[in-house]
Amino acid sequence: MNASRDIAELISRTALQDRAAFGELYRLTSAKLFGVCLRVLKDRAEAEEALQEIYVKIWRRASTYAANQYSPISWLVVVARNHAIDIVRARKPEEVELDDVHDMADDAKTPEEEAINASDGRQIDLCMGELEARRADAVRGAYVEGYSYQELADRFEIPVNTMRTWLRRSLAKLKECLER
Amino acid sequence: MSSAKGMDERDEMLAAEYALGTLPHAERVAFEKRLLDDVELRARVAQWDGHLTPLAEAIEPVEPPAAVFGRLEAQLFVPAAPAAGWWNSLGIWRGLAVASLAGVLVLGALYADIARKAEPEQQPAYVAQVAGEDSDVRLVALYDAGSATLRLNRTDGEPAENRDFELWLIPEGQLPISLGVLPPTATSAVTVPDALRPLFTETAILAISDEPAGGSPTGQATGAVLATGPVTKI
Repeated sequence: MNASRDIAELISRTALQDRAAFGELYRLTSAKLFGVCLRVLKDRAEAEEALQEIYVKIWRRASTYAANQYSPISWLVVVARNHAIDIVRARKPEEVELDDVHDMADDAKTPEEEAINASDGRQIDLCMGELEARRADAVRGAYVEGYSYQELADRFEIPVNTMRTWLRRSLAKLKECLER
Repeated sequence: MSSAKGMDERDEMLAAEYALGTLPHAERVAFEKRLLDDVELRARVAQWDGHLTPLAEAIEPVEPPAAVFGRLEAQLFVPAAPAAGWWNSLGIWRGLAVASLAGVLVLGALYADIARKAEPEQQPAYVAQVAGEDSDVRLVALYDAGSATLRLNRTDGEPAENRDFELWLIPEGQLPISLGVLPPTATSAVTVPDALRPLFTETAILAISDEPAGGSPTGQATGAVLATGPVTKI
């Protein structure tokens, strides 16, 4: 699989203002990035506009790619996701405090959950599997759907401040597992 | 809590929430400002991005509409077009010679606007940038269905001595149909015969071949096909 190396090379050539390489980069990656925009923005016209702006950023920032520590496709996904998230967060600004309550939900997994997360190898899946299922769903929902704390709180039927505390703890647990 | 460790943990959580995307708007904006000149913070975010991007694998790719790339190229590569008298402006054509299809689309859209203003009934307009990989022949064609006029501008390439360039319309799945020999002038206009008008659609291709002086003697291309380009609606 040389796809990743190909994309890295196309990004480097884009940094040299090579339009053909940029066109090829777009051809190979725009469907993925458009998918990301659609999931987060949930509006086709907005997603199209965002996609255009994202590739403008990619064209202009390609020269900074070599200096960072991302894999090529994840750099593109991050540029796209950050752009889309900036838009949705600005759409409905919220303020969310943390609350100081104890973590009341039981973090231990049920035996069924234990069974589900045995396989699959990838570190992130393994570590998501160590989270209680609802919490893993919240992390996934935030990442894939771009949900805000309020939207997550509504979905999981808990107060928004509790949601934020909840999610932070999940992230801390995730980090501890990922860096183990 | 004001300890370095406390700050460190606080930044770590902010970086995580930023990468995850849940950081509320005002905090996100403030955090992005800090990121601009805080290398350490950027490294934290990069680490979280690295952890979390595998979650994006669950996102199905969706092919964006073709028009997005056109708009993108227009935004990045085409200087703003003048509003009037552009057709005969040499500068425009020189620009087009190096511009991509997107550039043609932008100017084409402008042309369509002008055409629509002139026509009470809206008729579609089409554009094609005809170019070759191995030849320097380049031609921009704009077809206005309302007047059945095909305007041509050859921006590069000259036929060899005793040879002519011949223009072809190739409807999808059919043999090429001659639209005639290109005149020696760079710009020209052809009225498309009635029978061929319905064939100007987005599935058609325009092509230029190298032919004996006066055009192909057989009615089909006899020489090399020097350039091709798809017909695009504007």
